[in-house]
Amino acid sequence: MNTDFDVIVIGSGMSGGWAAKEFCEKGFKTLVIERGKDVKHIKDYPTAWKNPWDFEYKGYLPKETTNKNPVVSRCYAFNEATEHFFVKDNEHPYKQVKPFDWIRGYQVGGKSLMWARQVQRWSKNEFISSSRDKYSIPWPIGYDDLSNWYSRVESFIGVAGNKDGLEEAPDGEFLKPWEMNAVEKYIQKRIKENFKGRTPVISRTAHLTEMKDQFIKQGRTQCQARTLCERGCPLGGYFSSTSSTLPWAEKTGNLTLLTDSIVEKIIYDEKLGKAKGVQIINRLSKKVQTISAKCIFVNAATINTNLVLLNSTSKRFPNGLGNDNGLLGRYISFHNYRGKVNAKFDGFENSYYSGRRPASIMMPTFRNRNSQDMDFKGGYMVFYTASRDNWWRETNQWKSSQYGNEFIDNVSKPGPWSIYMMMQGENIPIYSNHVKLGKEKDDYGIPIIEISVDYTKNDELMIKDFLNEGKKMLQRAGCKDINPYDTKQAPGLDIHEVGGARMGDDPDKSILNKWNQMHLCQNVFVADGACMTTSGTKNPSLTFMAITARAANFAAEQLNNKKI
Amino acid sequence: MDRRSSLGIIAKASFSIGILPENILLKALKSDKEIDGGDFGILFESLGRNILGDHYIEFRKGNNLGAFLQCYIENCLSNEEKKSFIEGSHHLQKYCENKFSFPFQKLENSKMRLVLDDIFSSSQNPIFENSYQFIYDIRRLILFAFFRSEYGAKKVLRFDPIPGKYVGEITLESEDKSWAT
Repeated sequence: MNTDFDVIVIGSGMSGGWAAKEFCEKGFKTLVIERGKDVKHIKDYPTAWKNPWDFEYKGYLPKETTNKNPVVSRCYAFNEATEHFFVKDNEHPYKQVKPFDWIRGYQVGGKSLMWARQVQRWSKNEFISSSRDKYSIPWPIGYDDLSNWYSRVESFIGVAGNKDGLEEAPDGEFLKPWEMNAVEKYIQKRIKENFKGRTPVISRTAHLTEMKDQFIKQGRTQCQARTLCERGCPLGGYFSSTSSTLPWAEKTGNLTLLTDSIVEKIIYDEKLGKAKGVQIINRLSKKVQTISAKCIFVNAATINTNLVLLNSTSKRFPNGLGNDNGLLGRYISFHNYRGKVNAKFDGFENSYYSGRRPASIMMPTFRNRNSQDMDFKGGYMVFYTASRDNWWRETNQWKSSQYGNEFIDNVSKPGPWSIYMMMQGENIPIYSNHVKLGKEKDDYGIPIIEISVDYTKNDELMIKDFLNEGKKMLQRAGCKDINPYDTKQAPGLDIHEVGGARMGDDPDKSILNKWNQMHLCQNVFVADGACMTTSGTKNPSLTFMAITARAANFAAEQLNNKKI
Repeated sequence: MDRRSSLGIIAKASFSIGILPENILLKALKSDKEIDGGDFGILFESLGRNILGDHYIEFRKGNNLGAFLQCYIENCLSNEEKKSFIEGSHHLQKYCENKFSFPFQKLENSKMRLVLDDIFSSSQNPIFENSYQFIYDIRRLILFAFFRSEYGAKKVLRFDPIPGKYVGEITLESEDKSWAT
């Protein structure tokens, strides 16, 4: 293999795929390094077409697996059909200084194979509220800097959504939206009537609800509403880097994909004053190799990106690459998923739905939009769904004494409507929430990362507000048996951890500039979740992709002009 | 071959009557000499026949309920849940032995139904320890095995592996079934 490239991209997932696509399209010889196994679109989705009865335990995992893997077993998507895409707890150990469920996917495609596919643009307010309300340094970019990049990404990946005209959830380049069911529409109407400024809409999802030339060229086809997405979709009905950006990059002839290769460190050249390449360890043979490039993009997913940077020590950077200010690994934040509400709804007995929808109803934040008017900082989104109970209702609620023919007949019919509501709260980045290198080392001699991330009083106040407001909204919507509750779950299960190498204008307070370029090592860019100054309230992947596309285009200009 | 794989193969390949994996549950039951003539698989089949009614006959052609449930309980439930099933099965069999001189699976159909009616109505006055909880738990597992089977999904529920699209509102007719998941 050639060991000299124009660009090295570390990580092949959501944002790494975008970096690869952008550079390869522009003619740069690009190496994508993936620490996990290769996964080829279609060929490597072994469970994609299986039915429940095709699985040994009909989709559920044996205790042997869940007992050995308590962390990943808490992830909603980890099951008998998907377990091969998740990192098992003992595969890459980490130290939980405080409880943190670190959910990972080490393979080509990363977590883009198993993600929840909810994609919303950030609003103008989300970029400015943190500095306005003084809970973070200012973002060095705003909505207007990203708007066109959002469009570029949406047009390529395909996003189903409705143009709702909401300031807090800007519209994008949308395909046909998913439909709401009758009860979801009714609750939407009641909330809008009773709560000024609260507007539930159908969520925006990275699914192809209609076909366009762009998607045909990628070899993808329309989503068939199967919602078996986390197994990998042979149709390419939802976006993953495996089905979209990586094959696209490969077609240019400029992509080299190196799998089973763990980046140990970025090598800094003291004389040149910039990075000259990376040192990798083969996952299987443990052979060490050095590969050089003019430019390096770090897209290894938030915590692993921090790990690579912290481990990239040199005489010039004894505490990690670009870490003169000691802030690398600091200000990790996430999304607060602890607040949930369950309820029942009477009525609409003759209404049902068909197909399986990979979307829910979302409501942009209605708190602290234009100023801080609550006793907590930041905002939260609300999601809800309504569905008719199926036979599962018998398992925990329906205490009939029936059995036999009549029982099976009853339980096989749709039951009452159930409502599920949840919050997605902005977690305020604080200095003490951090990751750092531990003294212990993994099988490859790389320090084990220590994660020390926790909730704060701000999160508790936000949860309290959501539980009150969620209950009120469902009451006004006519629901009954409303049950708000706090899951008390550890951070991490949101799988939205961000920060550690945040962007900012001030090199004393941030690691990256407004182009995702390291302040102190200008041919290294960080464009995954690690770059985020704050978490905002929206699902983050669309923003990761837009930021990566923007950064890659800037870096391409710099390369062409020989500035890096 | 690991334990999980071997149990799975046994569960798939064997019929519950006669050939059963030598697992903890089975050993627990066989060690009790008061329980005569049966094992877990046969007990579950007998309970399934009653819970599932007429569907059991067709379901049974392609499914091995007893072996699957044995395998599932052994491998997928917590020790506490396993213990609950072992003890519940013991108690049920003893109750039947005491009342009818036979284990549940050897009772006539009318007596099986009598026992089930007694258990299902035992929420306030258990007829054996945790009788009410036991019957709901075992019914839950039988439903799980049934509705996640090809027969249950396709012939009893509505199963559509490739819906093609999602339609938010359709009219539900009185005879319409739930979608299988």
